[in-house]
Amino acid sequence: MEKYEKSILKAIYTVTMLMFLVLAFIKGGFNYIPLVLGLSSCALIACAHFIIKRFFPKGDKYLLIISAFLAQLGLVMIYRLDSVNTNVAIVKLKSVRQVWWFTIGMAIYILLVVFLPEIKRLEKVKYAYIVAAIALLASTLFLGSEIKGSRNWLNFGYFSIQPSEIAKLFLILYLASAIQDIKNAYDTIKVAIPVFICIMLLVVEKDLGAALIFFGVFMAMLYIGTSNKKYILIGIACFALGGVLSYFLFNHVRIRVDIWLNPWADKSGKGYQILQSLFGIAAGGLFGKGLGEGNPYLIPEAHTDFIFSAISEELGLMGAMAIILLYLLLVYRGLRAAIYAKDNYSRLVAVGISSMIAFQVFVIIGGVTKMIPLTGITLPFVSYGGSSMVLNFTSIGVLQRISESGRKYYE
Amino acid sequence: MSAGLILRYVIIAIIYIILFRIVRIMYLDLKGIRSDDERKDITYALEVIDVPGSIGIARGSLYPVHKLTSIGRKADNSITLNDPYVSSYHAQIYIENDGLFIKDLNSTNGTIKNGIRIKGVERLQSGDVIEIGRTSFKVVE
Repeated sequence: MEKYEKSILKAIYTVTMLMFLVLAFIKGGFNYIPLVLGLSSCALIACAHFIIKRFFPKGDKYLLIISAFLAQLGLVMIYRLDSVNTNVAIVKLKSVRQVWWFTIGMAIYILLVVFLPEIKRLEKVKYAYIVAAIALLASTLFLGSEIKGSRNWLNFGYFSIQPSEIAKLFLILYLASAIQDIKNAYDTIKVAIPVFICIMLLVVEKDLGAALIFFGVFMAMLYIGTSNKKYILIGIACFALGGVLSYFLFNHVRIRVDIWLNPWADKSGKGYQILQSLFGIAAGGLFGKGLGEGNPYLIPEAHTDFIFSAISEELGLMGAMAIILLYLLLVYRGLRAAIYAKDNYSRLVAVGISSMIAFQVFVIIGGVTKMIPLTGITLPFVSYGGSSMVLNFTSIGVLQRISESGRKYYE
Repeated sequence: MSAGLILRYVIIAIIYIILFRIVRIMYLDLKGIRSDDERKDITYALEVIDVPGSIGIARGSLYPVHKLTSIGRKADNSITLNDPYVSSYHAQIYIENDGLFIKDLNSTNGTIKNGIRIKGVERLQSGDVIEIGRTSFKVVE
């Protein structure tokens, strides 16, 4: 097994360096920055893998390998988009900052694997999680600053964080404990109320993508925890009702749906983003235009929300499919950790994290390809963004911890 | 220019090779677990060496030890001993990392290994004698 792992890692290093090498030569000249980025990120993965392999061999190493590979692909694309602006100082390049976030994410991942106690012991303070989640979401309502039309950022001068990202993990930790106690419909309503408050806060803050994910994660965990189809049907009915209501109540919801139905109505204004994204994807074709050959910088927000369109343009349908397959494998590994988990709490946490990643991928990829209305969230591991990078590696750290303490043959 | 064109396909090809290898490992992983179980299933067995007639088990019968074998009075145990001296869920025998272990599940009358009452988990070896209630088992390979 170890032999295979090494060969996979070697292939990952090779392809990363190859892509950065291509980027080093675009625009005729030679640029050393991409090579430094490539080498440092490969070294980072090698370090993390070495620590996990050496000290925690029982855990699932593919969680790390797949998520790190996704982060590498994201880094390549972010540098590609950076390379358009030649007169930006090196330290201000988004890709350089992304490498820092990648490093911090990896560090947190390793620290969690080393120091996190048995996940079961986190269950004790379940109400603290939901209070923290609601407080985090409410904080942006009062202290937050509005960036790109969503009031979901806390600004700390040099950097700003997105509390809804952190709230997601808290919600999962709360739900995993609360769902186990459900015995009848009344209990379900009691569990659902705080979730409902969270979703309402998110809708008011115009963070619709996060609201969708909260709902999806809640449904997935409720179904796994209770195996009662009735709750899911009621949940979907509530969702449909809430969707229709918020379409008529909130202007920003209506705009999103209208753009989705007909982006051409306002093609240089509100529909511009989605149309540019579709043009980008179409320009890519099957094998893409090749790194550095396309025009992904024409898509607005190409380094965060629309990174999937940028990848589709330069690596083509094949590259885009590879990304989706990597997510599929990552979610599979997460659910596998759930199957082998020792206790129900860890199991539900693993299910929650896997479904969070899955829904996030679905919502944003569905959004940029105009399958569902576009809501701005990040593509996990790939998009540029500190909060999302750190939170995603935190989740993977928790999964890794679950996979490590599970997989025993007795109870 | 043509070098760039070739590289474009090479990059995508390597990405797919990585994917293919990961999928292959996962396939081996799924298959591996199953064949592991099959191999370990038949490694150890429990031989009944002493039993009161009222329990309804013949002396000398063999119980193969699965990856997890539970012993107790309730009918959903792997080995059911209908004996008032045995707790509902009395003890578990399991295989981990190629070793055989026994775990007492806080039973009232305890589990006795080679004449000594065990505390928590203990390793078993071929030839050990376990007493549960009025029944004695011998571990055989």
